[in-house]
Amino acid sequence: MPAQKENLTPALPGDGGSGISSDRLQAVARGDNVPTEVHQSVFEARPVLKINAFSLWYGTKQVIHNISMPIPRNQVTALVGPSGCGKSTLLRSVNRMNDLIQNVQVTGDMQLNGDSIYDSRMDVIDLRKRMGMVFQKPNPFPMSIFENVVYALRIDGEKNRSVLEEVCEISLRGAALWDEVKDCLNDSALKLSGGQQQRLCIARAVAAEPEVLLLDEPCSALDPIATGKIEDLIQELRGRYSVLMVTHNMQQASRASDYTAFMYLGRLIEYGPTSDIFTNPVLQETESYVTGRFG
Amino acid sequence: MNSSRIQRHNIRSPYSGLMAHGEPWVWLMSGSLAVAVTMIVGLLLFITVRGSLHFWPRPLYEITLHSGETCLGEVTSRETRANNLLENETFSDRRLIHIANFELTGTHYRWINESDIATTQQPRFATVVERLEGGRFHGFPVRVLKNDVAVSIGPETAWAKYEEIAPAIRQQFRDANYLDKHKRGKLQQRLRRARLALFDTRLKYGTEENSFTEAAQDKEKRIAKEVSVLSSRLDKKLASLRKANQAWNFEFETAEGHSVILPIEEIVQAWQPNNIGLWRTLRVYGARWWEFLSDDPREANSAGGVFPAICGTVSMTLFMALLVAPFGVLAALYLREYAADGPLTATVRIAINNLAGVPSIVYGAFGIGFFCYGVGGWIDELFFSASLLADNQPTYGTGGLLWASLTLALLTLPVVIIATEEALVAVPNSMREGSYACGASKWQTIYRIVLPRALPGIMTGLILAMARAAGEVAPLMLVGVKKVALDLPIDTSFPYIHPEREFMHLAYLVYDVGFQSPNSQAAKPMVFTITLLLVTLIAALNITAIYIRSHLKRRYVPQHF
Repeated sequence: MPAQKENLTPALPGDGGSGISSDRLQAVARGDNVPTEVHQSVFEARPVLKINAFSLWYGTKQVIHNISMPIPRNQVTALVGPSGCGKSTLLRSVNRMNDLIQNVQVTGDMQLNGDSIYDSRMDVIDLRKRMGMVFQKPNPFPMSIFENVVYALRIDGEKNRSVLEEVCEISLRGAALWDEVKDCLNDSALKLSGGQQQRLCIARAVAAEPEVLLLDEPCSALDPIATGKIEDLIQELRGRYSVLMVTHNMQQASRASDYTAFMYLGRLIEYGPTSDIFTNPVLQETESYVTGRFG
Repeated sequence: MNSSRIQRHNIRSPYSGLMAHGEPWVWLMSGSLAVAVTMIVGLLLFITVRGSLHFWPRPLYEITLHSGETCLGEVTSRETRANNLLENETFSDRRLIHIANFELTGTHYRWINESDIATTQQPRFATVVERLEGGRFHGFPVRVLKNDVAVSIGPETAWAKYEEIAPAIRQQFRDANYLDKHKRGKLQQRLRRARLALFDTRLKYGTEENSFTEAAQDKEKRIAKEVSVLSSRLDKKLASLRKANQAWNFEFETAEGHSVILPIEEIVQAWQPNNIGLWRTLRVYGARWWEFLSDDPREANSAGGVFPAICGTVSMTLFMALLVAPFGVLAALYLREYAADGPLTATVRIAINNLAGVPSIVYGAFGIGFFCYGVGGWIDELFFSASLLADNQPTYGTGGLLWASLTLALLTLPVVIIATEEALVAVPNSMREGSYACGASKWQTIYRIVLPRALPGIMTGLILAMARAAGEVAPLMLVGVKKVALDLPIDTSFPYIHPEREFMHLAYLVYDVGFQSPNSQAAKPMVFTITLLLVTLIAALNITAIYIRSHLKRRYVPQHF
């Protein structure tokens, strides 16, 4: 849970006269409000999801401070930042998974294709059906591979076998898993390897044609080869799905995403196209983070 | 540098090393485990050996005393005892002989001092006879009689003749009994139904004469007449069957020289232990086990079989499992998944835990007061008022299988709730989150993801509950277990399952045979066999459940990671 790591303040650069500016980060650490650098090109893209002045508290502790950002449609957006910066919390706020935790309060709003997510009339179950989510650790359900993939359809009451089979094949192909499991669809999903399980979870997430795909550090529990496969998969998903992913791995963010948002202690520091963030950031703080000089 | 050297020195210190590594604790732990295992294995071994040897045919000894007395029997046990503890301490050995022939000797067992014995021998034709009544008989075959005419004379020929004719006679006897029990039972049931119909009409239309009661009365009279005709016909048929059987008698001579004539149809089993090889011994052993497992009890439960008790134990345990499983799982689901954590939930949880510690007899008292007299009495008044009037006997308003199962379900409910709660907690949250993220509601998540995953743990609770219920005695004595109840709770007469019937139970039988029997020496080995059977039965039930659980585990719980 990100909430518990909150009081860990990452080490800041700037000591010993290295010439790196960390004024803004120090201001954040003091609790001051700082302006957010959002590149103009972000606003030019067509958004699928808009986050408007969103803040979140766990009890009395504020974890997300007034974040506003649009998420471009059919692009991959990466959230980066040191541990405990609230990126996972922000991701889980998008499909309201934080509703399951007690004592969570939010202000502000998010809009999915124009529908207000935090509107009191929004049915949270309907909302989650419009999104897919993949977690840090692969979490296949204790059932067959086939049933795992079509789970979202099953709970909607879909019984037509041919529809289910078609969706299963399309989703597994989409998750680059079809060739490996097409002969054992009725085997337990728990028998797959970790990387296969994670791709299965992606297949499950895309089976219901989500409007947004949320990936919460999808590779953090996987070995480099499985990670490479997932990254290739994210590349393939680009253009078909709008992906919002959290990652700790700067190389992964630079390789796999179109847009990158840098967060620090619950605030959005800089947000722009990935190429700009990694090669030509507005803020020196961002540069020192993405180049690995702190965090 | 310096500090690290000091640390290393400390770790290697011989004084802290032993305690630090915990070796003495390991010895203590392994010692405790060894003691526990020894006790459990020892108990099981003791029960198994004593229980399984009971049916093994043992040699018959003819013992002649210095006084000239003779007796024929099995040596049951030997002991050494002091003759007079106060004065000079002389010890003497004595043995306990199962001498049987109760009607002649007035006792089943007799202690004989070794010093009184003149000669001991194993006569070849000494015969053990298991009779329907009167306990065992020990003697020597003399002749087989048919209609008081000797058919074959001499121990060898008579025995051969007996072995030739006995199975057919025994079968005929069983057939006659079956006919008597079932045909007559059917007739009586018919008569009873007619009587109940009459009482029903009277209840409905009043006791004064009217067209309805008259019609019912006529019908009852007609059926009573028919039944009496049919039953006299049955009597005749049975009489002729039995007459053919009763023609056969077997004359024996006891060791003391008395002549005894036994009707062959009343001989359950007979064997000559000194005259049979291993193969025949095994056959007798098997036949006696089979009788034990498949027959009704005889002689106040100290002989014969325990089939009604097996049937009662199994059906009650399964019935209890069927009742407690849904009840306990639903309660645990609400407590763990829906109820908000707070002082109330905590109190309920503590109360459930405490419920597991309430003495079982209290459940029995509650069962008889609430289920039998309360709910059962109410059911009787509503649905069985005619039979209450006709027989002056309750149907559900007394102990029975249903009430016993319900009482034990209540008794084992805490076990099931606690185990289910633990199983639910053990379901990883990531699975629930995955399901919610797919747009599943809470209930869909519970019954599609959480319950299947928790099923092996729930089964564990059910196994514990079943083991506890199958071995429970105290509450059952109050709510439906009887010393003798030959009508099985599940049988071939409509409606096949009779949850209102009283039943027999193996654990109660252990108590009854062991501590309430008039013939305690004969009953003692039966206690071991019944215990062995009960333990085996519980083990079989548990192994079945464990097999199902491991099957579920393979399906629903990851084996690695």
